[in-house]
Amino acid sequence: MPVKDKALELRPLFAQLGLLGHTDGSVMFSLGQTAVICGVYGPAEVKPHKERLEGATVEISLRPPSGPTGLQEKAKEAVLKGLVESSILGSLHPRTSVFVSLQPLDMDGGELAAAVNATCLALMDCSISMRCLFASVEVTRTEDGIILLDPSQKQATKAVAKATFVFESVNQDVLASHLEGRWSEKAFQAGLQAALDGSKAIFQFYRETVKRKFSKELMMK
Amino acid sequence: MDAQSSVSEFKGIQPLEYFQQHIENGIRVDGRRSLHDFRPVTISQGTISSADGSAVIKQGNSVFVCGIKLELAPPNPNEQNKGFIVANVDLPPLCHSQFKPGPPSEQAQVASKFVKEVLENSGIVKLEDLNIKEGKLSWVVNVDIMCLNHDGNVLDCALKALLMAFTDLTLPEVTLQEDDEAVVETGGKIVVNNEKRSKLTLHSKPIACSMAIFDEKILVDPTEQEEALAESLVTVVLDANSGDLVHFYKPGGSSISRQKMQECTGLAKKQYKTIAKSIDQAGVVTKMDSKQSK
Repeated sequence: MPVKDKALELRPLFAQLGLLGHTDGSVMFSLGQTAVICGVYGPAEVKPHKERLEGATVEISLRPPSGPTGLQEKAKEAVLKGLVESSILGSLHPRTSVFVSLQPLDMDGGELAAAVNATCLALMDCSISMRCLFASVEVTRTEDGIILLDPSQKQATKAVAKATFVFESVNQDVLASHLEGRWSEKAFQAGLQAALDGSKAIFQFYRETVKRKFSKELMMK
Repeated sequence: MDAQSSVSEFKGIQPLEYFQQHIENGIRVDGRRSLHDFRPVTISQGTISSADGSAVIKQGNSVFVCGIKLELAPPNPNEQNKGFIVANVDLPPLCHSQFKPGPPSEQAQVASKFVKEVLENSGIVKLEDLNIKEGKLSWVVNVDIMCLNHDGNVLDCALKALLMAFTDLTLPEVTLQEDDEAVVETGGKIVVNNEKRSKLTLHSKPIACSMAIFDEKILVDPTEQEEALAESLVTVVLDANSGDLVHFYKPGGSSISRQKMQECTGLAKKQYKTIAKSIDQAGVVTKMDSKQSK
């Protein structure tokens, strides 16, 4: 049983930037036991039929850990595409493509949140100009109304409803939301507040990760 | 140059500016008087005689048809007391030029997933209700939603068509010969009485309200053109029976503050009451208008 204050804490975060040699930006990100590798190519050459005059074309590819790609992945890709399109400054790179490839390795709750956070870290590693960063957290609600922040699959077994929110870093506004199960208005607001608090820790983690990356690069010179 | 041609030129040359000026004055390009009005909705049920449940819905120029076909199948060994629902949204090339023949477009796949999620979240049909005999026989409910004309707001229309087709759905009585091991495989011992049909119990009434956000303003029930120009799209699904939030779907786009989120939920609440009332009264043909809500 999670203790009350533990319930509103994130699981350990881990990120390793630039682990893939051929991509322009990459990260291995994990949220507790949920792990995902993300690579970004861009701004790169675009296929003529996808070329856009007004900005970069965003393409997302999300593969399941095993088996063929299904509807679930397509739905996640649509959310990620919306997020990347609205957060990068695509108009700086017209007639180019930004390709984000994601490979989840282990699924233990918060898969969408982990994929979103990995995408943001990989875009940062790729040094694409962005108007804001984004961070995502999953919250769940149990039958008796207890809100759990970022639960593992085991902790979430008692959950009757789940929600994933994505916040941006400038005004802490909501960029995307995705619900599973029923939420009363009050519980929804409580869940949103818990997720917002959780996202602050993730933005802090982004800051530390990038600091670590640059301190390493400086030392090598 | 006369006024008529200068307006159409303005619309052709500066579509965004044309659209913006409408919104600034609180009216819609398609003639709606308020940003918060939805388009007139026409529903007809039981239009497909070969289906077990069907509905056609017309919302402005968007036309959707939903057909439900029933099949019998042995239940999943892991869930012996449950039936199946297979829902699919199709956006064929005939509904809009943006869709090409071939595998389902991304938008169609996302809409299918959304409909599935709403079915699960709202618990409208209990899968246990679709079981005929535990471990032996269950109903498979095949739901096909097809767009005939695409003028925006796919999710709202698809969900309304689905709900109306479910209200129209009747299940024939099935009798099963006792103690027969291979009933389903042989199919010989199942007696389906198509004359005696019963309605399926619906446990909730999910109603969607889609909104487009443009210049900090919320446009209810956006048309296809408005969707293309909007900064972000939000779909709020509420259960008209309990008032619970069944879905708050926002796939990226520009960010919205929490205050705006509450405003969206508030608007959806206003809309669903009118729609739910009209759906309850739905006979063969129902017409509703946002004017009735005032």
